[in-house]
Amino acid sequence: MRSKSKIFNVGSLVFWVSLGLILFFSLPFFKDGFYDDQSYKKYIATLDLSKQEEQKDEVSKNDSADFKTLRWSWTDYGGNSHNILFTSKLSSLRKAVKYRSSYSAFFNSYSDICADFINVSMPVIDSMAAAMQSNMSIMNITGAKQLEYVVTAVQQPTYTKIAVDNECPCIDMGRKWLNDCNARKDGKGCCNNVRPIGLFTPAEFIFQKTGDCDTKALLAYALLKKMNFDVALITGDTELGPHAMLAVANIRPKVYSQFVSKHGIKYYPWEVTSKSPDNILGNITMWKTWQNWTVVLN
Amino acid sequence: MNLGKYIFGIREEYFSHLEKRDRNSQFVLYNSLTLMYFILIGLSFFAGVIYGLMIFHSWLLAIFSGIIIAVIYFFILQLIFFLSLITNNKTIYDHFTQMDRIFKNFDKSNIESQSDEELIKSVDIYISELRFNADNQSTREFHSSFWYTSTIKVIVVLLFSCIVANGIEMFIFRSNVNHSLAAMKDSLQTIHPIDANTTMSDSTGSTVSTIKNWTLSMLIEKESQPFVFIDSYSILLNYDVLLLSLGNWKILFDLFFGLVFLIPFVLVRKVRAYSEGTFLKEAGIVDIKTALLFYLLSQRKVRQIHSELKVVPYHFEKKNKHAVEIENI
Repeated sequence: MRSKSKIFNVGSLVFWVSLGLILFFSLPFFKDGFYDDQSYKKYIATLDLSKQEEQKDEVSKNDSADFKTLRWSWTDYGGNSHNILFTSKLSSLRKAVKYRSSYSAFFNSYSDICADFINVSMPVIDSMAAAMQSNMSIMNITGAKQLEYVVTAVQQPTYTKIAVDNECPCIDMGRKWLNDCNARKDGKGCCNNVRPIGLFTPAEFIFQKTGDCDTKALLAYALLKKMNFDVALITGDTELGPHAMLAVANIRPKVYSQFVSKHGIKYYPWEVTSKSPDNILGNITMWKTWQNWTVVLN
Repeated sequence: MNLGKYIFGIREEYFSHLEKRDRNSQFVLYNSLTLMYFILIGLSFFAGVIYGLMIFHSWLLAIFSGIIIAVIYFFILQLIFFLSLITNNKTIYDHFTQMDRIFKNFDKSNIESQSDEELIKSVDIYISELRFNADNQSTREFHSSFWYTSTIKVIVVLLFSCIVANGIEMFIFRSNVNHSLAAMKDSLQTIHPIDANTTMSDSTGSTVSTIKNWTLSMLIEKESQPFVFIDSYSILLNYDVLLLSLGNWKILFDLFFGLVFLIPFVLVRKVRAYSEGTFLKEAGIVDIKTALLFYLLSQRKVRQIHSELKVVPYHFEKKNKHAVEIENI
């Protein structure tokens, strides 16, 4: 009986004390202590155009130091050399790195992560896409040739293994990988601690030119999407494990090819991991096993 | 004093067979609960008036909106109270939820020849046995649906507390919010004048001049609709100012209101003097008794009609291929 009344007494006490505290805090002497009118003054300041102009001038002064000029050079399958120069903000790179490293993959699907990584990298992608389009215009590259132009640019940097944790140096896929995150000519580059899923944002790849299959396919997808091509990011299994590729719709490959369908649209795969005469649209003969392929992003 | 009779229907005769101390204990329990319930309804009425004043700037409409909110709270909180008041007495609970079992006990008895007084006596005997057995039975088993129903109740109560909390917080900080709104109006009227051709976008894409003009229009009093409680026509602007100015303290206030709203329901669920108390047991027994008595009275009538039909000669005649008519000879 005592325990029964104890819960009741404690509960009632909490009820009346809470009610009393609400009344107590509403007394003029106390309530002013909770109320801080500095916060809304910041809101008013955002409506003051003169201050905004000053802030804008300040930002533009700082901006000039923030820009970095990037150079991408590559050759296409026809042996033509291409060279683009464009500028992009270092703060965009920092933002993308910070965004990726603090990203929680727990509640998000792979396609959500890819879409978010593209979104955060958009200013850098825009700069590169604009430079490419300008260059293609000068070189008179049109139609399906534009696909090859973009894909060969992405294929050019040497493949680098990407590890979520501290795995490099290691031996994987029958190869030896060093603890060097640069795109090494010997193809032994390996990046540690690329969280959350071992995928660089397109902004990081554009600045650092180092990445693996999905990082490269994601940038190719983002650039071509920007140029209004019907492309997709596809993932599936090969004999070496899970793999990601670019896929293109509405253009028939010159070689016999597998395809991945979504909503009745056939997407033909394109290996963008490395530069090789075999890595043309539709060719997957480099893989003995090619199964469970699905469209992740289109 | 028996406050519980207004909400829970507590009759003093339920406790007539109890000792004075136990009787007083039950009255204290239900009086406290009723008082808490009245306070919650009072707070909801008050919050409704505040919302009404902020939206309509008219006392009449504000009181009307207070009454509307209080009536909604009255019925929904009462419903949640009654859904939470479940007896732990297994015998009463089983009888109440499966009355067919009680009725079966009387199926073979000769009720058609019994008078009303005799039926009442039979029911009284059965109920006396039930009351005696109920005192010696174990408590009701736990059922997994408890979690589901409790979660819904808690969410509804917290939602209600949140609505009331926002209303009352606006009342508490009314003068501060008015002061801030006045300062905001002054600032907006005196800061750098906006060129009509200037379009500067903020982070949301809206032009600053649009925001400024809208904010000013919400703060300048109209002759046709003078300010009554808060010096602004926008409830969202009021809460923006309150939220910005209170910061994390608002969470503390909301927490207190959450406690005030949740505690009565926690008491009903957790204090065994409610679930194992005399009121729920006696209320259950009275309902079982009423149901049983009326079942027997109706069964007696049914049997009497059956008996009469047995001695009345009649035959079925086929009128057409679809209908069959009973015709007395």
